[in-house]
Amino acid sequence: MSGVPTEKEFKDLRRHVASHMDGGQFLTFSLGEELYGVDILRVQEIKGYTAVTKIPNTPPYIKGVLNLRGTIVPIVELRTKFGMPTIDYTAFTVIIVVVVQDKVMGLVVDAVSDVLDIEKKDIQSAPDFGNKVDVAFLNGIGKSGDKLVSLLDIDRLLLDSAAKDSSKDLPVAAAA
Amino acid sequence: MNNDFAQFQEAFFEEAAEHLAVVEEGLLELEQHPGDVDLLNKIFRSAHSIKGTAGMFGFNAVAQFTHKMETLLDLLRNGQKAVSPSIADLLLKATDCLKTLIQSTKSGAAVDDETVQRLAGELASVSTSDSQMSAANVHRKVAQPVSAENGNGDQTYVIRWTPPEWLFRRGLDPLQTFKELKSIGVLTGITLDMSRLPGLECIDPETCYLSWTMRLTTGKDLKVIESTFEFVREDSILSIEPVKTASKEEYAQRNAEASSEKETPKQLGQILVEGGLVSPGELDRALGQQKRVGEILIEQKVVTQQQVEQALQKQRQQESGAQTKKADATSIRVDTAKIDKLINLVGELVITQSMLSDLGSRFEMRQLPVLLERMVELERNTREIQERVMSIRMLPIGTAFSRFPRLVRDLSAKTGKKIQLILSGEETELDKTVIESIGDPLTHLVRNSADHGLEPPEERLDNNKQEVGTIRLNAFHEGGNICITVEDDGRGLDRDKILAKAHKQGLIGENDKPTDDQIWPLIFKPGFSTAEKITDVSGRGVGMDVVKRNIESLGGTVSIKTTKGKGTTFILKLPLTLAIIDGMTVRVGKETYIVPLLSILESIQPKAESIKTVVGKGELINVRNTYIPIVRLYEVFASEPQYTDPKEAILLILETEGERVAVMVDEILGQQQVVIKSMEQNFHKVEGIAGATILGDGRVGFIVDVRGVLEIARHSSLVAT
Amino acid sequence: MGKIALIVDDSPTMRQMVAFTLTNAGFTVVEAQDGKDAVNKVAGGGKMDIVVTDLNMPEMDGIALIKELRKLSAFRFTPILMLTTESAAEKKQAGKEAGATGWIVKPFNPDVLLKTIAKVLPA
Repeated sequence: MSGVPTEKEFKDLRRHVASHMDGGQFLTFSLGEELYGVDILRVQEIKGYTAVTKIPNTPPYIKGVLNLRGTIVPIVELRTKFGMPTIDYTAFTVIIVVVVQDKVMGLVVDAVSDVLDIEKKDIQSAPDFGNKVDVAFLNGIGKSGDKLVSLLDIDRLLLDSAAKDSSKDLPVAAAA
Repeated sequence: MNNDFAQFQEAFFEEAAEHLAVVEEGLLELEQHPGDVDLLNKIFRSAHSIKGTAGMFGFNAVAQFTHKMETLLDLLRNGQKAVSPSIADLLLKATDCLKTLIQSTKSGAAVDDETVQRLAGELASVSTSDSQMSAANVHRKVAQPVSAENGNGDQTYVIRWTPPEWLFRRGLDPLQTFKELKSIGVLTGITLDMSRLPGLECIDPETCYLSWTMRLTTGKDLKVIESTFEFVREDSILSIEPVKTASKEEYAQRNAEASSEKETPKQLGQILVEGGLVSPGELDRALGQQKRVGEILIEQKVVTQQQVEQALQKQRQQESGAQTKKADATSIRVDTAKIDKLINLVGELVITQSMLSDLGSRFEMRQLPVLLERMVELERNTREIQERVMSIRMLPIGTAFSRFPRLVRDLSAKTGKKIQLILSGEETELDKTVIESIGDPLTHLVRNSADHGLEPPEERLDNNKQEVGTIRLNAFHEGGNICITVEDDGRGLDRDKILAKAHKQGLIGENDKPTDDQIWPLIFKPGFSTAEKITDVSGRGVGMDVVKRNIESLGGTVSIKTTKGKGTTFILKLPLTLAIIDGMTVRVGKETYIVPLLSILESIQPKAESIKTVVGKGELINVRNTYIPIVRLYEVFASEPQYTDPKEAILLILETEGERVAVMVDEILGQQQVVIKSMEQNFHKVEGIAGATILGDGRVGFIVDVRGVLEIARHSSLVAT
Repeated sequence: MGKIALIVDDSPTMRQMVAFTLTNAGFTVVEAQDGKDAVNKVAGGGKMDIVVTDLNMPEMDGIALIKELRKLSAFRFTPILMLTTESAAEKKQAGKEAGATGWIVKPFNPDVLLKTIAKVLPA
């Protein structure tokens, strides 16, 4: 299965995700000052950052690929994906390995923080301002205690990243 | 039927497919050699095997239909009937029908019973001895319970038994019989008759001279007792007499009722035969004359001949549909010897591993030589296991060739050309997946040769050629690859015609002077067909490009050799397996790439004077007076190289689809086999990259897609055109 | 130690089925794909407790195999069962003459197979 998901597939996915947005457990992680959450059921594992192999002619947010026990797993740098400035990786930098529709992908994040229980009543739809992240990749904003967590629409995010988007293919010619 | 065997059904379907191929090939060959008894025996055996095994699974329709084929084949092989074209044709049709029948048995789809019946009828009427009788018998035999419990009322029998003298020589032992009798009742009063025993001096210890008389009291019926003597009854003097008791009549009656209940009603013919009113032969003839449903319906004007033919047509379509579906089998049958060897190797691996971990747990530097020795062993183990595992996926290519005799026969009929097909190298082994995928491209090439390559008989005769054209399919190993050639001795490719067409389609400029090697690959361009008329067989301009695409998607190449008036050869070069390739590991800056060895012609360190820069176009390298465009891999992959000066770098001269390109890399690291990992599994196809692999240090390395790299370079004007 | 059975059939499916049944019944199974293969497999003097053979096979058929086996001292009295189809009833006679102990008519089920073997296999 490869290529751009169709509109219908997206809709199906959203419906699927919507049912998951009844609240539940979220793995939260930080990007800069902000806290993000991803449905814990989608997380396969968390591993320390290791060097990846860069894939030629892919958007900058695709860091490269990693050998995860014999499978080739693409790694997405969330900061770049969300248009945030890149920082040097630290000992806290981790890769969250998630599974979406049989596809396995890694997300590079600044640090993981917690697993939080967020109830449905504490989830609001994402406002389309005041947030640096493209709202299209959020399912909503969750509240846990005094913390606000941006809940990622992981399906949309990853299918979008794994899809061959329009900016793909042809390279920018390096110095001739 | 006992469910224990159900798990072997898949194996049966695979085996049946193979047998069908043998039958079909054999029948086609039979047309050339009608008297070939060995061949007939082979065909018969395959049919027989299908029948026997189908029966085991209760696939009665298959078993019965095959039985009819087998009956006819038996007559042929015994010389009781001669092979005629019409018989061969009927058998071929029956083979097709059987294929459909087996397919539908597998898929559970409905069968066009009418065709099955019609062909079964035809087979039966051609065979002088129809098989309805024995088919019915088979049925009856299966339904027959082995034991029929009587429930109450034991009966005592007196058994007198004189076994044949050669009893022992057949591995039989009277003791076994007594044991079995004891298991069904109470055995008493055994008396031994030694009267036939000769004098000691002439006794033969392997001869049975003895007779017995005994009494058996049992609740089982006579048939069960008789079955004890099953293997010797016909050769023994045996009597089993019930001892008269008051309940005997009752008992016998009850017995009769019980058995008649269990028996299916006899067929009319059978009753007539048993009653002595007709002979089996007469019945057979009558049954052979029975008309098929289609014929009867036409006669009764229920349907028209046309309607029946349409229905038959539909059935044929369904048949062909069913055939294309069959490729879904994904299991592989492996010689147990191969598995045994593998198990031994894994055993060795486990031993090596435990020795290594033992060594590791208390390692001292002075043990280094031992460690190295173990590592060598580990490497050998691993390599052998890899080879063995790969060999499991290897099948002879003959399975892909087997469809061609039939195809060529049909093509010959359709085109009116006389065609002789020569197959060789069928035993050449290659990966199952590759075999499955080359069928269609090969079919197209063969069709193409038959349709475009070979001339009609008149034209051949005019050109002093043999009237019969030849298509030759050959397979052989070459290096780590397999080569398959499709060769015809036809008219050869027409340079002028291709050139004209290429000009028309704008593929080549009017003033270009392309070489032959540049012209021939044009026929692989989409929409390119030089056929004057579009024929049923080929020539719709679709196909050759698909052939090329298919072969390349398998990591292979297609090339053409042709001589006008002499013929054309298509050469397919394929990797032995899709899972592993031989690659050259190269470095560009910090990145490691793998270039398929198959595409590498040579590697050179260029001298300054051999590099030529064409203004506004790019760089070329002069290799023995041929100018080859240079592609800098770091430019294509937008990475940081160590060298930007070709004189310091290495140029790999690569070939893709007949084009040459010099790909510039920093360094050659070595040559190794790599396991191809899919990029598409979790990501998507990346231009210029054929796949990924895990390098020795655990990192991911990319396998270069030479064609893709060239395309990227072209698009971005990174290469001389 | 279990008894050893030699199964001879050119159909891998049949071999598998017979082998499966016998293995489950505690036999050690040796498989051969035709008569020649079978003869080769016992050429080293190997003794079998029972032989189950198909009749129609390439290279060397069942009848020829039975004749060959009976020539070997190790197989003089070994029970040999032949697998036959109803239509080959006349084969029974040929089989007996060659020295076959008995026969099993195809199609059969595992029960019939085991019962027939028990009939001829000395305890």
